[in-house]
Amino acid sequence: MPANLDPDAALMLRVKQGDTAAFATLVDKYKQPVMNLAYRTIRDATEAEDLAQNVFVQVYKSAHRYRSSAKFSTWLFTIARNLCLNEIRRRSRHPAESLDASLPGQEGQPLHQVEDKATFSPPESLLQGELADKVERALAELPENQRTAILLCRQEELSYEEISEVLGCSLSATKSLIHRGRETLKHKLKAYLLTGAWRNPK
Amino acid sequence: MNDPLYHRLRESHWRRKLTASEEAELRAWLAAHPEMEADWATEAGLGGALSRLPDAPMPTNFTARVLHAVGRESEGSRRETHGWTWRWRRLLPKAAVAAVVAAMGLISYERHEATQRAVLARNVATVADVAAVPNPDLMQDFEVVRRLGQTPPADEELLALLR
Repeated sequence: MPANLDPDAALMLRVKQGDTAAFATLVDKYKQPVMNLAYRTIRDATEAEDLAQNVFVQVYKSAHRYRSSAKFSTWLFTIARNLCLNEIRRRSRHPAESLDASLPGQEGQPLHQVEDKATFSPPESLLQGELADKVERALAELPENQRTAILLCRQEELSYEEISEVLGCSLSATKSLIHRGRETLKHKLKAYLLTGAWRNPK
Repeated sequence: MNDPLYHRLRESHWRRKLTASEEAELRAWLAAHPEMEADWATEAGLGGALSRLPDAPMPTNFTARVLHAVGRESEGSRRETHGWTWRWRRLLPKAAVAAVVAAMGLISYERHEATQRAVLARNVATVADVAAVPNPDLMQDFEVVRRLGQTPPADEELLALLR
């Protein structure tokens, strides 16, 4: 085993030999970033949980195909993104009724009221909560590749080159996706970001 | 603004918090370009908002569930492999008998075909031998000889009356 081997790659080599403890270490390390990506892609906590679980099962099943020359996190997020895309495709083929839809004649009133059992920690202030909500909504409205690029950007482990590998496009295209996504977010959130008081952009 | 320094600092900011030296570079650059203060303010505000996004809900037993799912998958594939082996072991003697019967049938068929071909060859050779010696003299009274056997039988009653 090379001395300068990436620690995650070293763990994956152990996983290839059937070491479940090494696999559990990798799951513990990456479960939150994978869950964040899944949740912000499909906007459903339960389905995101299943999807994140499938990502790791897929990693385990495909361990024999992993080459230690590849960075584990790049490989992992590529699998995660592919499964997210499959889920988006599946949903577009079998659209479900939106819980956010309004009752006819009662604009602004959701069709269903469902208790939010998500374990988000309570916001420090209403303002922060409102901003987080607006950012989440604005992120959800971005095209998938821009949103994924921006979310992967938050993973400090991934360089721009690695993000472009996950997205399957060139480095310049990746930076352009991030730039365009951020410009859209800034446009939608500008008033709030500058003054703290939310106004819909004209 | 296409200033390479601003671009570099902005791209670094997209991914992480700027280091102290980068912050100093940025302050100096913004002092020289005050018109970009507002742009940087929204950029920094968005960076902060994105970094403060709460993590998605994570069940406490997630890792255990993944390991359980992986165990189930491994058990399933092991059972499948074992099932195939077991089925093959059961089918192997039958397959061997079927293969022997098929081989014997094939050999018998081949032998029968060979015999048939030999008989046919012999017959063709015989006909060819006969056809090879056509003697016109032998055929001269052929019709007369052939009709000898076809003459009507003698009328016994008429012969008796004549006597």
